[in-house]
Amino acid sequence: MIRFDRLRKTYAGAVALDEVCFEVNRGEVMGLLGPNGAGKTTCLRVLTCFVPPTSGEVWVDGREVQRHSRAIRQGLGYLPEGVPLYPELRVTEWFRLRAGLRGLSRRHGKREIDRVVDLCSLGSVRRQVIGTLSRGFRQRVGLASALLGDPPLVVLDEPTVGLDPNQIREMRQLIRQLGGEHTVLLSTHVLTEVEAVCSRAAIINHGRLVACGAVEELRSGGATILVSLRGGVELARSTLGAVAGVQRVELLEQNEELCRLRLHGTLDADSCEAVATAALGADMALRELRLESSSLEDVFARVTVEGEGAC
Amino acid sequence: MNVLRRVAALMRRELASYFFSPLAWVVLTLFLLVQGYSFYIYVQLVNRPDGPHGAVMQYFFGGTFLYWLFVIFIVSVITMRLVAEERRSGTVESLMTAPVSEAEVVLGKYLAALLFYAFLWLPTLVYVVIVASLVSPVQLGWGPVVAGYLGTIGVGSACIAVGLLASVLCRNQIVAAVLSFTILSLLLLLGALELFVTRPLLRSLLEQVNLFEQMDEFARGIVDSRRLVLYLSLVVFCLAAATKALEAKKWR
Repeated sequence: MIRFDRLRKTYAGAVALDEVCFEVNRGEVMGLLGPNGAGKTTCLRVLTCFVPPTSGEVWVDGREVQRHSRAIRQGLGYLPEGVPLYPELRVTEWFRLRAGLRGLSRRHGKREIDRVVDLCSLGSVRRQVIGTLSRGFRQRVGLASALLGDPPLVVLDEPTVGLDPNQIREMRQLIRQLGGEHTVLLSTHVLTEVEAVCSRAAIINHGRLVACGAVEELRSGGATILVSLRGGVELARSTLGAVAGVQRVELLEQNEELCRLRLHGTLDADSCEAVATAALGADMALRELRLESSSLEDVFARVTVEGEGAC
Repeated sequence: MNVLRRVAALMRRELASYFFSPLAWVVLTLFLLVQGYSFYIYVQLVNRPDGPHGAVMQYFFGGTFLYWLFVIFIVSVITMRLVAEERRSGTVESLMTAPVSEAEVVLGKYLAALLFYAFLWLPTLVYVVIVASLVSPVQLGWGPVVAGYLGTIGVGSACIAVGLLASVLCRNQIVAAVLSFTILSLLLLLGALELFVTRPLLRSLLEQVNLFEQMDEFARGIVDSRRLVLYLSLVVFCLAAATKALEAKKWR
């Protein structure tokens, strides 16, 4: 549904995005992950037609965003970073303004406002002035106005920042519910958030895309096998290094009879069997064999640190 | 239909924001204070045996710098926040990522400022009522009064367009106010050059843009359609320029 095609953006010479390419499929919740200042917000701002790209294109449903800006904006709801709202308005006045800007009729607008107020549990603050709302409520008002008019594409820039743990859980549940009927693209620097709500994720660092794929896939990409066995280190290294998928053998500790090793590479449960077979084949007794699937946190640390090394 | 809905929604918000902020009430109070004072002065002036001839309302609308100083000042103040404030507070991101065109945003904000300006003048109708209750209709001269208000709204609409353009160009409200005050003052003083220019072509050109003289005409009851065309062209030019400036995304 969305395709970022060699997207590049520079601000007065400083590179914010560098040849970023990835796609978001219809109906999925996609996470855009990266450390602060990685270019997530810029990415979303180009998608929502707020800033033009320096080069490259973004396509939504086969339409380029710069050329079809109005139609694209009609079909998307956006929660900008920091949730900029007019502080002097009441919550209902703000929603009425947003409904008007979407071109909804008075009756349709009223129905939509009731729906999103319900969805985001804002009934108790309808008459309140936005400037007096707590951070959590402001965030929910922002989300509700992104959902006003039921746009097929919902773009959320750091939707849970500044919320307390209960509010975070509610917000995540709400976002999960949006998937399926809506396509959701959200940015965050919180890894657990991506693991909790997203089906796919793209990781960017220093304006470059460093990883992209299903969350499961990204996680398994960093899996390692921990193995303890009896036998010489050299023999273990050569035997296990030859197992399919193993790229690197790391020695963790070693005493007179045992050595503990960690195997890196593209590994899964099948690799464990192969490791066991290889070890027994070389006459080395196995003490421990474990597949350690890494958390997204490891993946994140690995790709972002590696990215820095490359710079 | 949708265009009207969007413009109306923007205008409503903008008007509401005027009245939710202390600015509107401060401006309104100062405005009435100064207008009331000048009304008093003119009444005293024409009542003196050796005073100038003419109706009170004529002096109220034209012929003095007091009118101009205040119109220009007020317009700069009520237009400065229109777009500059949105850019400073970041709400421009919410606004421009909604499905609205730049022209609709400019138009909505312009109409709100114009309505507020007209609202400021509304209480001055009391002066007309006071004068009307004291003198005969002939002495009051309804023509000049109506023409005076027409001229005031006409000149005001042009000035507000200039102020809106300044607000689009600046990120800082104060800078926007200073910029529009400067442009409007220069526009006003441009006509005064007429006195010093001898070349006939240039002289007649300056005569056409002499806002000072024009307001004097309106106050005497002369409605010249050329003046109204001039204000309308200024409005169209400034609003088109403001739209283009808003479209040029580097301004954001």
